[in-house]
Amino acid sequence: MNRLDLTRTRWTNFLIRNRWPQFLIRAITLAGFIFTILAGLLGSVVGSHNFAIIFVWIAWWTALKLFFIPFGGRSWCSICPIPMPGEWIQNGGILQPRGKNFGLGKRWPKFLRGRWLQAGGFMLVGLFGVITLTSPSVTSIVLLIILLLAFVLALVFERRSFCNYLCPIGGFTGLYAQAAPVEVRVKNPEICSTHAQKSCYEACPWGVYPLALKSSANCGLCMECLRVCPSDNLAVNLRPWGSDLGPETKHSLDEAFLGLVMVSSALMDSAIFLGPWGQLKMAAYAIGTGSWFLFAGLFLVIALMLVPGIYTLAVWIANKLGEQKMNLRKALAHQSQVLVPLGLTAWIAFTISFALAKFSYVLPVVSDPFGWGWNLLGTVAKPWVGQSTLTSMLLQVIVLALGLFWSSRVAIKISGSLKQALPMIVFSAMTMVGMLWLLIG
Amino acid sequence: MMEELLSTQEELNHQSLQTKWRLMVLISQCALLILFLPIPLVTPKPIDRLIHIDATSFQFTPAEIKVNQGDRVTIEFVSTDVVHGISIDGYDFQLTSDPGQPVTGTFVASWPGMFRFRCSVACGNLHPFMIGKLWVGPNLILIRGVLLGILAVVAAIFSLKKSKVLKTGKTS
Amino acid sequence: MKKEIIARSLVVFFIIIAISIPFVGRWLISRKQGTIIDLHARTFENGGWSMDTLQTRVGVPIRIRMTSEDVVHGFAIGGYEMIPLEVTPGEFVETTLTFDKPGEYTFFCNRWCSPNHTRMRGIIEVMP
Ligand code: SF4
Ligand code: SF4
Ligand SMILES: [Cu+2]
Ligand SMILES: [Cu+2]
Repeated sequence: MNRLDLTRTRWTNFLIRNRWPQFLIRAITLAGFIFTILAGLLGSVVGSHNFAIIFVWIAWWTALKLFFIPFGGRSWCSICPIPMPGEWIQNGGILQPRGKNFGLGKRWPKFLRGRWLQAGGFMLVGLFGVITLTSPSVTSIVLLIILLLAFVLALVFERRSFCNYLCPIGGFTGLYAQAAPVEVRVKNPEICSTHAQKSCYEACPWGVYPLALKSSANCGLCMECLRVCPSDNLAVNLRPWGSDLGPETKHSLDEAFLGLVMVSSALMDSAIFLGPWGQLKMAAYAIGTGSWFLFAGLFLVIALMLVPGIYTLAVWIANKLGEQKMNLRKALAHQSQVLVPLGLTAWIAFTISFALAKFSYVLPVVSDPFGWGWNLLGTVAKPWVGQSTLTSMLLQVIVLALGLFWSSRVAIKISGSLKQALPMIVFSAMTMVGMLWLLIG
Repeated sequence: MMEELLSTQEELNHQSLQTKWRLMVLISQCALLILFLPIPLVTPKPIDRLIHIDATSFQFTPAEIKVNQGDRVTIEFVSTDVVHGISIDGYDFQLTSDPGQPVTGTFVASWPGMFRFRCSVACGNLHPFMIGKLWVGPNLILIRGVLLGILAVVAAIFSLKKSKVLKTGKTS
Repeated sequence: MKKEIIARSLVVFFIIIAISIPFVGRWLISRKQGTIIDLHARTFENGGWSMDTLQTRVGVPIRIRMTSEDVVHGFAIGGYEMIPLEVTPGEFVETTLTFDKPGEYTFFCNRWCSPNHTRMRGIIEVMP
């Protein structure tokens, strides 16, 4: 297999295995997180001059989609500060492996398992997206709620229940981590089968048994398993993009739902934030009014009925055309892999169009995080009005075309025949043309 | 992507790898052609245009404007509620209007394509998203994008078809 | 165990820095600013000027630092000669005013900022 094991090189091995580098980054992101919350609450109400808005929605959100996920899968989760306070309490220490298990340690209820809640959370973010994106205090409150919720849930439930079942960011990163070029895997399965203790499973905050890892969706790349394995039997591999997508991997209906929500959200956000339709923007902003309910209705119809409807139709046709018929439920889950490259590239294209135009806001806001007229680093300058130039549009076109290429390949690979793959290719092409039309049409 | 392309055929021998590479090169050449091949277009004779744009928080009316390449476009811009501005991406063009007081500005639409225009004066919460679209000539990049999409599908089909044939050929 | 203590102190230390930046910063600036008055402009619907009345004495300069919280506003004073200021969201303008005659002066926004724009005004009381 064409994998490059990072634990075999000395310095990468050190960076991964030693607790300090990761800990230091997380300590800084935690402080940054708290700083961001304060900035949003205390600082200027003008979004473009507030650290919270610019850092969360321009810098971090962009970095997540253009850097962390495409090159590192769940790499954000490995340095995420949100579960840190809860884990500190759970483990009785910051540098401790799991074990002490302070807190109630309840198991997450069965009926709430899966990615349904994450998809719902992501949809909520979309429904209130315009206000969150423009109001620093709302952004802060959302961050605060996430931080507190993660903490409280860590006391009640075992491990990272919040991450596994609730965190909308986790839904996003987990889904697309399947396409990403990093994985944690067992080096030699035979060693595991003779090791009865399963130290790695005991230590894994995500409740994953590395030997059983088929897809990177649920592995938070926290590297705990690696640190406790007595036989040094875990590898951190660089792998080809899209390795978790194929005919053999198992997928479930909730993944299909999450994937569809993400695709619809990318389309909706492109329409709201980059389209010329003022009415739509205002309706999305005026929460609680009649027009907002109209908007919410439209949003839900698109995200829950229109896009899933077309998808179901495509899968149904594909299933009819195939030689062995699956039941529709299974087919819906199986074909959901096509949504992974599709959604990921749609989001990347959206981000290029949306954020690159606004990147000039980042430096001024570092110098004046609260919008109080400071100039700490001397980088305060009037940001130029965002422009999406020809280069950025070309990039978007290329990214979308690559996405279509990729999702078509996945569709063909997971189908029995080319004929059977066609409906899914058509579905992907429709999504891509939709994105193309919204972004550069 | 290249790696992904190669990964699925790890059992392939050197020769098929070469075909693979050739295919890749061919496809990327096609892609470059689609993206950059200049298309000679007959542009209609440039004319002078006067376009009136109203700005209301947070909407331009009209928000979608079409002109031909080379046209001299004069924009009469007036805000109807608070101070708004207009600036066009990629063009050096900017106007600011106090409510009820029209201002005019002229530019020559020399660059073809789709350009967003945005409000350039902070006018409230949704100001960053106050956007309109200007099309100069036919939107070639959209057409190129669609063609590139078709190429992408063809390439996807080809890249796998080849490998399956080769794979079955090898195992049988 | 020693490492654990270092780690914990580091976390606490970073968080303290994060929290102290806004508070210490605010305190330092308020010390430096001394008598400068902070005046925030908002549309009438959002509350108008953050202060309705400013007070000063004849001949005593009053320094005002203004910023807008929503849209572009202006600042001008009836019966006082000055170039009207532009108050832009997120940015700060400073001005120093000195009055030679006692009385009540009206300061107002001179840019059309909302349907109720004309009601966006306040008073400067100049005492003898
Ligand atoms: S799932 Fe969410 S909270 Fe958990 S590590 Fe990832 S981003 Fe952070
Ligand atoms: S499998 Fe290993 S790296 Fe992945 S979440 Fe579990 S402990 Fe962390
Ligand atoms: Cu405006
Ligand atoms: Cu005003």
